[in-house]
Amino acid sequence: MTPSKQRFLPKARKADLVTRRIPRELLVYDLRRHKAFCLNDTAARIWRRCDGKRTVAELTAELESDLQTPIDEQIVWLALSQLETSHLLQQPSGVSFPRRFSRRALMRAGLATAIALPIVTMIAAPTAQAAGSGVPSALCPTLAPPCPNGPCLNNNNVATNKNCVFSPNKAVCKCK
Amino acid sequence: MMNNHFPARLIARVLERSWRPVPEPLSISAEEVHQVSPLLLATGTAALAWRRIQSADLPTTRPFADLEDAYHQHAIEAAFHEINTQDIFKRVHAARVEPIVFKGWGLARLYPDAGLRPYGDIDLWVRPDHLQKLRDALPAGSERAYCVDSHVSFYPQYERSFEDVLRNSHLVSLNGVQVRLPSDEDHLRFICLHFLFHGGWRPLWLCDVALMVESANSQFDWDRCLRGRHKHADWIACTIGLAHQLLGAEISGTPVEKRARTLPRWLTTAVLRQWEQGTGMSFADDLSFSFPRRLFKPAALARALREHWRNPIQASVEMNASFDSSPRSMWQIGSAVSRLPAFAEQLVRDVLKAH
Repeated sequence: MTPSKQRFLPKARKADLVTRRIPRELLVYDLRRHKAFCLNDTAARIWRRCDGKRTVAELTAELESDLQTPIDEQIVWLALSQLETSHLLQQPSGVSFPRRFSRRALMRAGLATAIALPIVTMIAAPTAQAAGSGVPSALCPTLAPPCPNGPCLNNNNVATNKNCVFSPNKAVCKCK
Repeated sequence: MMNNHFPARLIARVLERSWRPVPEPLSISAEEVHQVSPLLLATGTAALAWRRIQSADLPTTRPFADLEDAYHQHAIEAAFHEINTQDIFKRVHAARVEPIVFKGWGLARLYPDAGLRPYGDIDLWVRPDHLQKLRDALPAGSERAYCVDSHVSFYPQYERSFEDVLRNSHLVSLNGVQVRLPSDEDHLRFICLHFLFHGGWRPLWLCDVALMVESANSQFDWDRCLRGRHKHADWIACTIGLAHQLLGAEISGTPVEKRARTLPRWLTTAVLRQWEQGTGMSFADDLSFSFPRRLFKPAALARALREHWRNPIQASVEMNASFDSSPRSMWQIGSAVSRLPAFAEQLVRDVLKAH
């Protein structure tokens, strides 16, 4: 372990994020990048404790106490590397995460048996129409994402064949 | 039994009692999930379905992952809706407006997890003389805007005035902000009518009915819920009956129990037909939708006319008909005829606009 890693005090990003806890997972929506992530329970436990005061060793000890099982520090590093890639840690950490923290490497080393490995996944936008009633076409572009994904309505409040969906180019809602 | 309206029956099986805190395990094959998932995704029931399907211990195939993605998306949307609803109510309180929230968060909050019940807009009922104040209180233009659907009246068959509903309404705290909701009795009556007026096309709406009926405690005033013309009380009873027959809602001991077990056959069939189509033309108030564009394309024209032909439920409620066992075709024809003047007027406008 290099000295810079020993001194690393990871701090979770709080600004411009909306979070939602669901059974066994934590969902995070990044308002800056308009991306959503799903943290599994292990990743969520680690992320919540990243207050800029705890070292990785301390985070590992607390996770061990939480889950009542011995945990290798590399599992925490794996979570941190994914959180950093997802822009969920305050930037810049200044720490480079070597390849040995990859999920596959940890599984090969037999470190994944006691607890679920931390996983941070980007959530794909569903193709379904989620809205119940539709959105007036004129209103759709003024909405802040996430977009309703419902049908756009014409001036007579009649559903058109377009949906009010997120337009990644301009990061706005658009009838298309 | 499973051969008639198979996809719709499968939807019903997947959603059966899915709103309960601990849903029952579901026996379903990967092939069935593959068949039903597009319909579940299209009708906003993916999250509820995923909750049950995950108990089936199936391999994580594409449709399974799509349902889970939809649940995640709805859960995040629920967080946004709550933030937006809080902000709206802070603004309307400051403007001294007293709106009542119908559907949306008012229903989603009853589910074990708000992400299970997606919704797109925030329906607010206000006193007519408060409508402009409500609009002024909400941000507009380039400022952050909300998808608020404001109403000053509902279906005549609702048979309740704003003042009456307001008197019986209650405040519920949403992260410290007081949000006004109708009484459970008024809300259940409303969502039953809403389901019928939209032709029953969304199974999610029937889950709402089932959940509200099962949530009704001993204080629930059934007389208040059913008060009004007998015919409309029967509509409400039949909608609850659909929730019972199709989704397994528990109705024992309710005053609608007897009626719920003897529904007219056309009613259940109409709902199943609508569910297997996966979409509804809920917003088509006239026949003019895209008409000029389709005028010289016979296939498109035929499709447009089919889309605008009311299903037996919509036709019956539009024509204010009883839910008896008589054939529905006369009400469907009546509904089309009653919309002809508006159609003609709109058609002339559309054709003139197109030229």
